[in-house]
Amino acid sequence: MTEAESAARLETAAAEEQADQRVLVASQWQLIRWRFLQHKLAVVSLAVLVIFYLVAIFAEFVAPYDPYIFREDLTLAPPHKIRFIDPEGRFHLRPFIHPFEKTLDSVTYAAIFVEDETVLQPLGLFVKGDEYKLWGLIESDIHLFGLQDPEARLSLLGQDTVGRDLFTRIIYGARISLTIGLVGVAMSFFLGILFGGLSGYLGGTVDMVIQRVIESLRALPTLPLWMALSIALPSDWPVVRTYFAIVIILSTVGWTSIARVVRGRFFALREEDFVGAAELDGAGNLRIIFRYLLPSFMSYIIARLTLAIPQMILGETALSFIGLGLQAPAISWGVLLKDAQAIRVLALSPWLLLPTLFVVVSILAFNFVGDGLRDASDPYTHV
Amino acid sequence: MSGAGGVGQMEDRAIISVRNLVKYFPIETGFLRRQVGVVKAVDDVNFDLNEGETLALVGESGCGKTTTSHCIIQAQRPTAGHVLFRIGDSAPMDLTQMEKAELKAARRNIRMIYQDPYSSLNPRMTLLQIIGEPLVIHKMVESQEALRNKVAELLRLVRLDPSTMNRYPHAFSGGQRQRIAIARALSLSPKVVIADEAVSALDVSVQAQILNLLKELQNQLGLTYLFVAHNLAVVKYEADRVAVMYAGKIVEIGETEELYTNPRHPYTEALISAAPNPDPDTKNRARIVLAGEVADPGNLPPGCAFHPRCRYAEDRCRREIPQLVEVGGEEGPSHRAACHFASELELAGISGGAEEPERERA
Amino acid sequence: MTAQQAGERDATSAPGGDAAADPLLSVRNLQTHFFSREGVVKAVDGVSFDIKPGEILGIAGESGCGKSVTSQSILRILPRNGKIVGGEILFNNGDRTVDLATEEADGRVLRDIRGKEIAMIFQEPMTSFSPVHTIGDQIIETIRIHQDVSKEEARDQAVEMLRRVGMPNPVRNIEEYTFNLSGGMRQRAMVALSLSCRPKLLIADEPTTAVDVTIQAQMLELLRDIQADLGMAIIMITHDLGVIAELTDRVMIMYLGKEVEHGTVEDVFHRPQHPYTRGLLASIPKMEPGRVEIEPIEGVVPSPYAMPTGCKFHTRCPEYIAGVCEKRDPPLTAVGPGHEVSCYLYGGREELE
Repeated sequence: MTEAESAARLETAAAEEQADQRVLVASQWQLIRWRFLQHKLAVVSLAVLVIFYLVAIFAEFVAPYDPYIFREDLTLAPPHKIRFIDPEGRFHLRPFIHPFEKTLDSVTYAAIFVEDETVLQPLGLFVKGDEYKLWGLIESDIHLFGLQDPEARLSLLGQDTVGRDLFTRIIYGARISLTIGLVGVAMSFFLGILFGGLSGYLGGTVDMVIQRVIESLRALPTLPLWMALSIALPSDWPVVRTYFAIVIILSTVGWTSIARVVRGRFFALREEDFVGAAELDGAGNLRIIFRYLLPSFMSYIIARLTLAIPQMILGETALSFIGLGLQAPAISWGVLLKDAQAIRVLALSPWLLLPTLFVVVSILAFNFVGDGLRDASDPYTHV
Repeated sequence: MSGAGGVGQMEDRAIISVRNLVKYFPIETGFLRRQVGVVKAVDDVNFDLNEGETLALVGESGCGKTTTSHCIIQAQRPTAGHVLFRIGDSAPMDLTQMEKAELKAARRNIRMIYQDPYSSLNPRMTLLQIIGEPLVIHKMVESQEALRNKVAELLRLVRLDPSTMNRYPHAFSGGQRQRIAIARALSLSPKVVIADEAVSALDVSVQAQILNLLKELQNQLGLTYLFVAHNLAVVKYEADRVAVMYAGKIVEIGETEELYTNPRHPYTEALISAAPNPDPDTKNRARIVLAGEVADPGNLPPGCAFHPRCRYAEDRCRREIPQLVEVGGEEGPSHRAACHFASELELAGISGGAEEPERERA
Repeated sequence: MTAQQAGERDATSAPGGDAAADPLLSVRNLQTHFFSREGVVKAVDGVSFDIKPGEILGIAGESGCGKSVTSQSILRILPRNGKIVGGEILFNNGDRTVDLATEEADGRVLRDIRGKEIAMIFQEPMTSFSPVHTIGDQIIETIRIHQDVSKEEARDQAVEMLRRVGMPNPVRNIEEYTFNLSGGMRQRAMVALSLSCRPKLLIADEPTTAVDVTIQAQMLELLRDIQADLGMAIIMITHDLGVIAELTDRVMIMYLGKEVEHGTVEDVFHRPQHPYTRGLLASIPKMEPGRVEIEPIEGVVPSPYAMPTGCKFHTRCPEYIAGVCEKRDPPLTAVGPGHEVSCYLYGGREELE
């Protein structure tokens, strides 16, 4: 592999040279970045996604409570109002809430939560609260924000059916829901490039067989297929194993569209003169694939992948919602939404639908980022 | 095993000899790819490319000129025939019989320049990488430093500033890109360069720069060019000899000046007449405007493929395929044409070849 | 300044057209700019010309000179980021003169003129036709949009037009789809479509660029014949000076959105004055016996985002006058009857001082 080594050495040396002159020596990725930055909506969406993922990564720290600790007295408590002005009309720089006083409706026996205006519970940053182990490693009880009184509970987005904090659970849910898309797409990416590449590069019979398999897979209705596969999962599997099983199930169909794209690009690129020129230069197959073909469509593939992530997120949400994906005690947005299945919820505790909002926002954000990347990924058409 | 065996002798001056070259493409249909016909893209083509000359292959789209050039460099494998290649006094080698490794070595000496300078350069690579690629692949440079020096030298050769070698192709105009493509072609110090419509996509002022550059490089480096083109005026300027192709066959081949002033095939005459001339005084000249279109190489007419458009066609032309025969007489350079009536017709070339004194014809 | 001078040009004679007639189309100081994220491209920057009824005008220049944008401006079919930012396009529509530059691009006036009074043919014939309708249907529809005739009459006119453009079997061809036709026949069908309403002006935008030389010869012959037959004016836009010499009466040479020289074909080709015109002519290989050297124009066409100041050609000009050419646009200067050049070698330097 001395050939590849020397090529790699030349490349890095060339790359170091590039730092000074701007547009004229701008590489493909620089051009893409410049164009992407001009797509305002995509940039904003990217910022949203970065925040979401940061929150998911530091869930234990960002979430004000432990997702499993419930408070019976706060079952289905609504969101608190965050206030700055107390009942006497005085302004407080530090926001506060009035804790709930639970009473029962004398006729329906339904719980009624009334704010106790005599008590002010101020919010604070870096407050002490439930103990946790960040990533199972770092022990701490400091949370990004919360009530200064560790005994009181801030109900930012309401409480669930057993009195667990919904905001906390949405944050923990993001961890699974957002990463399942990434991992699923990574798997699809791998399978898609492998089979699409084989199909496009070898052609002939291999191409034909792979294409027929893809068509068969795509002909299956997705939801019943997923249902069938997930029913096959043993219910006593631990959360992590179920999680990966679900990812594999979602990827069974996901890779086909990527394989098609890869195959099409392979075919188109093989016709490009610069690929023909490389063959005449004496470049071998591997060199042509890794130096000419893959770099030419990598940007495009990444854009496609970004657009594929929402499908994965929706897939997980849908499966979990109908009870075939992740199961409690695992927390994902789909699992949370399962609580909102009853019509009673819609009428009395609409905040239990809030995970939907996060699903929608993250999917839209992925779509906008994907659009931006797609527009930016072919800089040469506009230069 | 790639020796020329007994497939034919090479002429003394020839560096490449094309012998009975044939390239057929099957026409397939349906799911089972049943073959229903054949496109005779190149059909029994013979010519010699002499060392140091520029031979032009000229003709309209679909005439097989590009396929011929691709079959010479084995970018497409010919259906039949031989392409003999010889360096200096060594024994001729048959490119059509070569295995991959041998071909890789042979292609160091036969390089190609493409028509479209926008698609022939990888937009993801810098000039250094593009021009240096053949050198790296063939392990012709020892170090990064040597590579940079060599690429700088090549850039100077094609009149580009060596300090631009870290730029990407998008920073260059069409003419400059074609210079880059030329530098890449020359990086392995080849003997033969195949220029496939290399100036067709360029604006005239830039086209002239590239035409002159190619000529200078030829003188400087002793290159041999196979110049594939459709523009007759460009060919007239650039080529020493011209081969006119029609429907997969060479219909006329000879020295440029002779062929243009004294064409011996009606198709050559028509091509010359149809070429627009930037001189308003010739506006009202009598032009030969061929009816119909170029013959479909998938469905050739019987006899001479040109006969349906030929104003001199007779019965014999509809029945018998004419052979490419010598029409230039005993002495002087070879001039061959594939027309039954090549020695009888009085055809007009530039400035009226018919007025020139009749030669004795064999 | 340029516009005023150009305005005084009406009196100049045109050999192909009726010298006494009013111009059919009069373009005055046209400026068409493109707005993109990278900046503003002044694709056409102050171009003026007239064309008289029955005249054939050539507009020539290399890529990026603005010749095609000029024609798109006339018909108001510019891409979305292109805008006419100045000038007039006065079209003499029989009883009244309309300024096509200020009319609404999709308005009534332009829709009536487009296809009926001014028609256009393109490099790629397939773009003129819909693949799902027969040629006949499309020609008939065009005729009926602009003329109040019955379907049968329109059909007869369509057959007649196909015959005129040399289609081998018009009655059958009218039922055919474009993809069934060969390249040359498509070109003819496109000419028939564009001429179906007998326009007063035909704009041909590089119609022979992508075709083979024998088909190009057919096309040029067709245009010559049909012009003699129907008498419309033609604007021929091409980069090929050979085509200009073969077909047109007058020619305007453009460079980077500016007019550099303008005159009869004979004047411009035999007595080129502008260094760019001379350079262009010197860089074309000639179809003449013997060895004729060519001399390229040095340098490269500047980027449209980094246009030179003053005369746009001064960066490549062999006769560049330091301290003059880069100062300001040279004005058009008459160097002969109907022959004008925009170059300081021939005047305009007084105004600089």
